Amino acid sequence: MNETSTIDAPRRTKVVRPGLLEVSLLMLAFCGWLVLIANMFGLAGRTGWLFPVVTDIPGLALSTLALALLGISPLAVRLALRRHNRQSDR
Amino acid sequence: MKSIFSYLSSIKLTLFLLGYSVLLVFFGTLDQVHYGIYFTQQKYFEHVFTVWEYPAQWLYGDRLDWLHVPMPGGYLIGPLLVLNLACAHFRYFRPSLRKIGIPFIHGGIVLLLLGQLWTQIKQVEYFMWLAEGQSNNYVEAFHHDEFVIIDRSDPQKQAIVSWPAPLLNQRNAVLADERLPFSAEVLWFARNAAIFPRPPHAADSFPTMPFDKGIGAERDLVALPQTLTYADGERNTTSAIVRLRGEDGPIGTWLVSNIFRQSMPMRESFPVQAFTHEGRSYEIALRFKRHYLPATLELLDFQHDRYPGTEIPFNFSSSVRIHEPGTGKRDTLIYMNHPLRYDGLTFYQASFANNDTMSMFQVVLNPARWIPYIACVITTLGLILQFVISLVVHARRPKDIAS
Repeated sequence: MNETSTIDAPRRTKVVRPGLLEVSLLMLAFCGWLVLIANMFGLAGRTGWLFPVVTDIPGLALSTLALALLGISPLAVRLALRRHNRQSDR
Repeated sequence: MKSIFSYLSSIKLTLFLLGYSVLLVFFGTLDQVHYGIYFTQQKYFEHVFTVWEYPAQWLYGDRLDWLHVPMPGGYLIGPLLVLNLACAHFRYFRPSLRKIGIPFIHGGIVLLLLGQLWTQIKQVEYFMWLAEGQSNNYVEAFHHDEFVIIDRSDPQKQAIVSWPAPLLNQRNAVLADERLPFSAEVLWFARNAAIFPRPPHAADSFPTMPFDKGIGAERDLVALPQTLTYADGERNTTSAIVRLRGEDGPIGTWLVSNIFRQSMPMRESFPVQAFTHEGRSYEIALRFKRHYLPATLELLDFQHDRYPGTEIPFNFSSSVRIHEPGTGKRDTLIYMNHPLRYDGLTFYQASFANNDTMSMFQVVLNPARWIPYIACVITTLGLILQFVISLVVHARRPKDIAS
């Protein structure tokens, strides 16, 4: 009787961990988001030590978005490459 | 919970926080050029979050003005560093006689950070100008203003009712005190204003001012808000239009301001504005916040010594007499690196004017000024202990193992 056995190739399904730069950028974007929310809801500048008052809200929003994209992009690229490698392995 | 503790105690967090500290110092240094040291310190180190904005003066400033870099401020990084150090200590440290120096070292560093926080919260800087022969019993704050109403009816003493200037900046602010028979209603407030006489040829170009009493009405002054100044050595002209209202209705409306003319090095104070109400004499003012001393300081002599044959100064010194009620008087000399410490305040020789006949003292109130010294002693003690213990352990080790 012929028995066939299949041995799975080592699966490379590790979570794509963000590196130092990505985490730093994402943290900056998170700070930007908090300051943005505080300014939009009028919380900034009330205590004098928590959130700074920013007059250029669209500029801050754009910068926050840019920081978030800069932080996410390398992660997204690495994830896409990993998927591509896995598919080509199969 | 365990994972949070392990993250809070991780070296990765330490590196992140130190990295952000470098970022904070870097952007703070960039901003210091435009905003001066006081505002920059406040913006970057005395906030939980802060935002760097691309300066308009830089290359392509008009196109890149949208560029902001939000980041954690000193009030977030500092406490997190203390927390990180404390967590790491409890996670990794195993008490033993050989490591007895480590708690001292860590404790000293934590004390240093906490001392800095205390200094930032509590330190106030004042100044005092004195002409030779002049005496004074108060110092004035560099960065804070107060709105005061002074009851001058008693010639022996003044009753001063004071409110911090930021209280005037609240919408529909009404300031009242049980010691006063009237309340103050703030009609207009500016953190920095331009005050000037109404130009006769362009009188209609400026809005009608609501004040009807005091120097503003007498000289037909115009007060307009202007952008804040952050330059070192300059000070914003904090101004307000205040209406006093008694039980029978309005008493009058005054323009008050901390500065009348921005002359250098001394700014000209706003002239005294006095009035009477119900038979009592009052004075109304917005002025630099004062801190009254338990004694009077008199400047006896100011010396500006130069190297012989040159104009290069080598010493500035002020001979001061302290008149203390009850205990008499004593003389002291204030010069470079030799301040006067009195009543919790430290008086430094800072500036001079009027052909070397006036002297300015920078006065610092810092209740935490001993903390860095204590922290350094504790840390040094820990380092010495650790070094000596390691040395003894190493010396006692059998030579064959050591070889």
